[in-house]
Amino acid sequence: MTTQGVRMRGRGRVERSVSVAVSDAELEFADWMSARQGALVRTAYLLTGSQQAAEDLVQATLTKIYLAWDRIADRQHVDAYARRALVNEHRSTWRSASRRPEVLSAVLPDRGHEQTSYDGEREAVWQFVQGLPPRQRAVIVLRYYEDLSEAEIADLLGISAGTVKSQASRALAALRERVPTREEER
Amino acid sequence: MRIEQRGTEDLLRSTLREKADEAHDGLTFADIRDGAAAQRRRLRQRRLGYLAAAAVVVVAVPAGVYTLTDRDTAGPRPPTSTTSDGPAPSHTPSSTPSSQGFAAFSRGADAKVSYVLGRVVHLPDGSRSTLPAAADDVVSFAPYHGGWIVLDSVGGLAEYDSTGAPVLRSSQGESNVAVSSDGMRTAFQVDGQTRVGITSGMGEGEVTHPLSAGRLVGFLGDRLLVTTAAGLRTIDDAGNETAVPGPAIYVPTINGDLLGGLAGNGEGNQGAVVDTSTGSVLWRSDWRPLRFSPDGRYVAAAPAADEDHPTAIAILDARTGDVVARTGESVGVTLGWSVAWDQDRAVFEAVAGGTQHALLALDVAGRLTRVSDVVTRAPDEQGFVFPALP
Repeated sequence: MTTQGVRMRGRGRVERSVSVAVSDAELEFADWMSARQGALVRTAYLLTGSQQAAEDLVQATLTKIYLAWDRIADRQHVDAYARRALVNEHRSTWRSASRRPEVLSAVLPDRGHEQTSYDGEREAVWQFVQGLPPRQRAVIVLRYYEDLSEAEIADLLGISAGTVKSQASRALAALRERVPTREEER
Repeated sequence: MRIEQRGTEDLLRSTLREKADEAHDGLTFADIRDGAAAQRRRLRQRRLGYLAAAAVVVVAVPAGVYTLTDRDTAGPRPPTSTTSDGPAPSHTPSSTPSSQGFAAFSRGADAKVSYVLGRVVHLPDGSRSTLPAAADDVVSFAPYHGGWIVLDSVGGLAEYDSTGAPVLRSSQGESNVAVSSDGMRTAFQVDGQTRVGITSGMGEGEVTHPLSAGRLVGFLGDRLLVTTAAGLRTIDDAGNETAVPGPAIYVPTINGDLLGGLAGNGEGNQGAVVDTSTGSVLWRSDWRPLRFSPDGRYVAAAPAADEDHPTAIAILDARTGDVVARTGESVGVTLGWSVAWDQDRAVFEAVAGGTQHALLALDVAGRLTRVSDVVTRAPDEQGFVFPALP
């Protein structure tokens, strides 16, 4: 292992300079982190609904990846590896936060005030997504943001593809009731 | 209707994209490196605590003496920090029988099952061995060629020989490990391949299959069972794939030709057992099969609607789905999903207060007893981990 003097700065990047010795593997990790942190934080933000919670989730995920970095020789797979670690970490967070069984339902979150403008429409959709139970919300984020297939989501969340399908369709039906799209209103 | 759905889906997609862009990344490499270092420090402190306990408590001598190699520590090791985790500890669970959450359970005979607690492998005959220091986040394990296959919480796999020396460490993607119903063969998925070999001894005959897609589940008869995007498939020694007849089953357990697990019906989860020799569904119910008994007569199950933790555990007749015995609606502790069998007792972990762990056993007569000491584990530590089973 060769080492280099570097100064740690910026978002996941390390600059070669002075002070702290960093190995080649760490430099490689830092480069990967620099490239992928944004995507992980965006997904985490959608899963958790808050910047702080998203950062905590991504930090825990990146720490796991860092600790496992030596054995992830094929970097082609590291993104998928990271996504699974993120989802697993999120699952463990919501599980430990609530020791009672989560009830998945299509019951709508509080309606709040009526939204009429285009931005208001999206805000209403976001409020709706935030009100979903954690697993149903994860299904929605993985399906409609990460564009994963039902089978991939089922594998990630440890549920059947039928459940993925039903949870997504229930959420969509509830969303249609809650926030009719402008095309439908015409 | 189709247009309405498309409009809602598009709105959902665009909203999520827009909202996601509000998030900003603020973590530095130093944050991660420091967090990892803190995690390593906590781990070392725990181990020192275990060693201190071992100094005053006589424990069984580990079956092997293990040495920590340079390669055998986790993470890209910072060249300026020490990452040695010290010698392998002999960990004796701290017994706290007065723990309130478990006070209601009468103490039964210790479960004769294999499990890992920390890095100590407990075997049914009461003997113990200690996994190497690198195996610090074990979520599954299996005996292999006289040594161990160990899986960690992010899907990494390591193989150790009978002396604890590392033989193999996964280098890409996720891995998995499974043992045949008879306990004679172990398969593991690593680096795009699946390897199959005998569980104990140093015999020859390891077979390697390419496995570009799919995820290893276990053995169905003599064939490997894998999940793919197209459903469950078996692979024979020549690498030929065959679709498993019957409905799609998720998170399966296997015994012989019987396959049990979740059968999504589009409305939610149901449990089911399928006879794969005929493709026929033997039963469906609100109980989700978790683990067949070794003789295939029973299957341990949990309510299919449960999401985070089982609210109850039951023993069902494997061929009819009839409930033979079950726990009450509320047992006062949090139950785990993993089940092992000790003859006619289904053994599973329970947690009280987030940190107190113990094994409970439900027998076919409906008796629920505590079958291990109560041990304290930190919130981020694994509790009792059973070996990989189909």
